[in-house]
Amino acid sequence: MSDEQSKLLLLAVGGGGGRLAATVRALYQGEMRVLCMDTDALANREVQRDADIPCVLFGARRLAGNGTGGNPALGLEAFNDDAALLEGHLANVRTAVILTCLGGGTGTGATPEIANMLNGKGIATLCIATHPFTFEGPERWNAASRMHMQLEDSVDALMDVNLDDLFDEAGAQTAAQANDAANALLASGVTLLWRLVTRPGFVCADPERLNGLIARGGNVRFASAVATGHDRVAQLMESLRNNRLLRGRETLGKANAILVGILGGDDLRLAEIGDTMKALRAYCNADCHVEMGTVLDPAFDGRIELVVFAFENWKIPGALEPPVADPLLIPNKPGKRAKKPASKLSHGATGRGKFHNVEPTIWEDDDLDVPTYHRRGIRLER
Amino acid sequence: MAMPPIAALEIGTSRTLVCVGEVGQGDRMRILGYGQSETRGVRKGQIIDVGQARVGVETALKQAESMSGVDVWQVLLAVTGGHIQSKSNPGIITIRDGVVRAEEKEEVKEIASDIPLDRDRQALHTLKQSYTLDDDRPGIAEPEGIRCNMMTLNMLAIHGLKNRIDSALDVAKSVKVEVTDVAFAGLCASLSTLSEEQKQRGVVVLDLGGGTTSYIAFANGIPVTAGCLAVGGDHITNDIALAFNLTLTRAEEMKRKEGCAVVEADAANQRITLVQESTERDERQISRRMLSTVINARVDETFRVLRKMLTSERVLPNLGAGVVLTGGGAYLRKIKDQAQHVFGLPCEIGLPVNVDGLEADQPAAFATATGLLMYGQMSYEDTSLFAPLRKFFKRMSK
Repeated sequence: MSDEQSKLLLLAVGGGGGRLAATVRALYQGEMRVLCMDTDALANREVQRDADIPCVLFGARRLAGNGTGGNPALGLEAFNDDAALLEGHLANVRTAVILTCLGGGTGTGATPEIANMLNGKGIATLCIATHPFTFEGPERWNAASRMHMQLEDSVDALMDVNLDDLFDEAGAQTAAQANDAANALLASGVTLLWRLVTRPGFVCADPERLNGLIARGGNVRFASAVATGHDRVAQLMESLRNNRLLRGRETLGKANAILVGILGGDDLRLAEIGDTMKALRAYCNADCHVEMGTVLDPAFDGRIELVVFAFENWKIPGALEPPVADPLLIPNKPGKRAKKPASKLSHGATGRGKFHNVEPTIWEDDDLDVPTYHRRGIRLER
Repeated sequence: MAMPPIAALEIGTSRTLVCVGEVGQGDRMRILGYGQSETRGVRKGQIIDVGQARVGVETALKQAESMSGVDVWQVLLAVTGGHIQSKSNPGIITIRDGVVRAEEKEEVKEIASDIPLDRDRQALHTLKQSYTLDDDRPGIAEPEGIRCNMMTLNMLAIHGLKNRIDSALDVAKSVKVEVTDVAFAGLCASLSTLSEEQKQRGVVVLDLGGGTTSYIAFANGIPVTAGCLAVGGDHITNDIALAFNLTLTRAEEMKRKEGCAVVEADAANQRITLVQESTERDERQISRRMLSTVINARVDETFRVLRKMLTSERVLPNLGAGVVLTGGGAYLRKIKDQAQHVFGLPCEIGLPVNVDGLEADQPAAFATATGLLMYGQMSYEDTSLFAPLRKFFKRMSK
């Protein structure tokens, strides 16, 4: 494995995350740095056997390898018991893509703490988390929702995939088939991302570029499309427009940044790359940051695969400098989550108003007595 | 001997409330009367002008006496403010005969209740959490008779800055009423609004006051954390006033009449006409969407800060019964929707339960005061008529 490739880690947490990683591993034939973490010894053995992925069993003293029984609190405690086990696998890692399925015990409970640990080591984190199907019941759904909030605070970039949104892709199948179809779809997205940043292409999107994108945070959506035959670009765009995960124009219109991957064979024409990018840019805001890469692989002869990752609330470079100072105002600080750029228009009065003579309420270096709309850079139209 | 009527005093940032009640049928609290007055001299729950704050208390007291027909000379006092914090403290003992006895429960309780606090802080409450036996059997509610070698009891102390609490006492003393006990406003709100089932399933109550948001969370029936964020409805008013160059009075009126915690799609093209003031030459209008945007930003931020506080205390995953919003701020339109959005949990408005005779337009705004009456009732029943007084003096003398 090259030095560059080893900087990128695929980290699966819990049973659902492990199954997803196994599917990714089956789809991606090249070298890949991947690790599974689970509290269930049996599930770990299956992943290790089926996908040849190194696995770490944590919380063994507490749970004896039997898993958490769907209890997130146990998942968290188990990780805290054995956090050191993960540390040994992080040498040289710059970016981690975390796979987890929310709603159960291990992934739900341990993932935020794992992300906190990675962040503490300066590793940029993209978490791909699935929200359970509605038919799995309100308890799982609510547990997932609660942990989604924690994840937002813990990871740099979060891709929360609502499995219900995949139903169109999954079709009217049985629950097990729907689950497999959802797994395959997500795994194909992750695989395309890996190909994009680790395989040589006409335009390279290397792991360091991915790191730069992820470190600036935000909420991520993704979509992929395949086209063959004539009018491949038109087919790709049509497929993107109808993609439920990306929600088409709505998401691209709101994105601050997109990462586009175009994967094709030797027959991929320059004009097709140009037309695809032109069509995508037409959906985006003029100031949307665009990163793109291509992968040229004879295995793709006759078809083009397009993958798009759209980042909302992504920190725009240069947008985090303190706004024009009011002597009473504490400037914006660079946070984990994006803050909107300072507006050029009036924010109205910017002092502390009726709280000018009382002890300030400070939270994470922000003076909460200063109007929120001002600190968030919200433009007011009177 | 029947319990005499009791009075609760809440010196809020925007409103002072005195509630008089007595224990009615089936141990339910019956409200005999109440009085309320606009508060001055209080910012974010802190007394900054005793003289001005006293005026509000006097007015509210007179109204309450007149409505209830009771002469109030003793009150229970609710306190809040950003200085209120909580801390869990363990007490550990060795079990002498290998089986937990009643006196060992008392012993461990005494040890756990002796919570080390900074000299400038004062414990308001020490609440029992749960027992752990031999380090490997946590969450035991009743250990008596169980075999073990070691027993740990955690007590949750809710504490605040002594001088801030004393300032509130000074205001009460200045109107010649005796304060029999002091209680944290968030705890009081939980007493009046939460059911045992909610506490068992896990719940946090957010008391949305004028200057502060007090909270207390329960999981498995025990209090797990409590505190107060010094941000409340006044911050929304202040933001509106600064955003649209309005007086605070006008901004408050705008918030109450037109305010909404979420930005609704149909607000895009709507304008709100302001009542013309004598000093204004032209009629003024503001965008409804912008008003909602300003309010939404503040409410969203407040809930996110609280969410982060609860997350850091590792409480959030245990709130199966969700979030209960109470206090006057709970009447901001669609605030429940915003809370659901931020916390990702079911939310509801908490109204005082097991209370009769409360005829008020916004009963959630009485959650603290009615809960304080219940607190007084519990203290009375717990020991004797003079127990609250004794407890109070004991605490003061520490």
